[in-house]
Amino acid sequence: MIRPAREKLAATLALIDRLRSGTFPYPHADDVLAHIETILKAADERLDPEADENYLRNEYNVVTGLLNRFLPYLGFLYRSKSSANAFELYGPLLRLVRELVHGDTKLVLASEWEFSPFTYVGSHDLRDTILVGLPASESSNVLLIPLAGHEVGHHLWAARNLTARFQALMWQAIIRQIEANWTEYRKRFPDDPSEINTLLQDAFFLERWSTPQFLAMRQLEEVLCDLVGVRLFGQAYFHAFAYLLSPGPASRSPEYPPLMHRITFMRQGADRWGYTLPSGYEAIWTPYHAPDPGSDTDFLAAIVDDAVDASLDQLLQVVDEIIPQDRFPIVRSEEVDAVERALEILTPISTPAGLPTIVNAGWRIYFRQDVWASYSSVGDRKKAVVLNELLLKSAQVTEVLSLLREDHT
Amino acid sequence: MNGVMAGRTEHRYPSEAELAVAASAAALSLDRQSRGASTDLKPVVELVEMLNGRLELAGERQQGLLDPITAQFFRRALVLPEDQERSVQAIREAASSFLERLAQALQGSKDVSLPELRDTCVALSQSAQASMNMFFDERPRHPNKRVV
Repeated sequence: MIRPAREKLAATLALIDRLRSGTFPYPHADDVLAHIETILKAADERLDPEADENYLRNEYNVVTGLLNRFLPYLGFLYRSKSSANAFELYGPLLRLVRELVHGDTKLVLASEWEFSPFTYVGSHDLRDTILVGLPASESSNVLLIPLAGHEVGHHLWAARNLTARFQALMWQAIIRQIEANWTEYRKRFPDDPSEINTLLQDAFFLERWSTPQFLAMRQLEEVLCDLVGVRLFGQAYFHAFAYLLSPGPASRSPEYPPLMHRITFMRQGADRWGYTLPSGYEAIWTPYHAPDPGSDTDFLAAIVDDAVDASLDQLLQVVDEIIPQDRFPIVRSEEVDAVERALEILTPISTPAGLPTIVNAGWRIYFRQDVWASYSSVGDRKKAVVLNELLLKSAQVTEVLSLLREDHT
Repeated sequence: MNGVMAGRTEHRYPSEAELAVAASAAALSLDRQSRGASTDLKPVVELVEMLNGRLELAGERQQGLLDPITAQFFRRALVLPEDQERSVQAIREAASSFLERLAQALQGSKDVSLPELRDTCVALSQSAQASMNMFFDERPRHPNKRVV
């Protein structure tokens, strides 16, 4: 079995060489390739033919697991070369993530073939690298950049060690919800111990809660990411979120809170940071209806949901800690006004503005029916394209001016 | 350092994916040590650090409790006395004992069995992989995608 394990690794390392021979638009893609190469070469060195047979059998699975993990990364890097990417946004986004996460953070963007932005996260060996995939059909749409803010939130979760902070707290929150629903719990699971303290000491019964606890942590992370998106981008995050998801899927994913809970959390974040919810926002969503609200699975899911709900205040505090207002000011309406005025006359900005400010002004223009009515060459069909170009140019202007300021200082 | 990094969260919470690789690397290191093929035990040091992190962050040590994910991770890998197989307290104690024996091995003690420690590391790696599969089964898959 050692031969196929070695050959699988060799084939992947050869693929890395082929990928490297092309030119990446983002220099950090080469760093990611080098990192994956190091990990795979280390795995190859662990295939020691003299080693214990039981060890080797496990290591073969470890190798397969690594290839499962990293082959999609290689595909991601390959697609980062696509001309569909909004390369103009790379500089401003890199600047933002470096201020938010760490000064050495690396960033690669790719247009991906999934209709949802995503990021690869949780890998210790690549934790200084942020890979953000945007749907290929939308990857140059500046208005959706706030969703990248959500993805950066996942990296803030990892970089600030928030699993460590919340793992035990979340379990305690779940225990409190079990206690609050103890009578119902006993009815549904009559074979479980009749005292909750006994249940907590019994590993067999405790296992019932390993998946719910995992899902609770995932949900908590997603809520934090929504709050990061709201905190950084204000109203623009709500608009981008709705553009992608409204009126809401017919069923929920257990890794996310119910959609209306997410909206409520986002609204509470907006209230905290002084943002106004877009008019009629909550009404555009259709809450899904669980097909069997009485099932045991739904009962456990409801306990997880309640535990996550109860943790919101702590998450809001965390967002204030990791995105302090002295370094990341709230998006100011008068600054958005200024960018909007430039866009109104079909010009990009001439003085620098933060990406959140530019995107918020973009959404204002997006919703204005009257804008550019006097410009006969900008019909309804061209409006979105023209707006996007103006936003891209505005981002570029800001980037150029930031670079010049850096050189000057 | 901000408020989030300060205080009780000095331990990092390693993921199952990391543990699967780290435990396997530590197993090989112990295997080579037992064969006299190498004395490099750095992978064991790294595994001890990770496992300490998981154990410390799994709940209050004084109460003898563990969160369900950590309890399951260790229970699948560690050998417990037959009458204590379901005891969370026993799992915590067995995990601590295993970490102590790894620490002894790092100090060159002859009182610990390196092959036994190696086998437990392999079992921990397998347990981490099993957890990953369990969690990922919960993930929604692409509706038109079929896998082997």
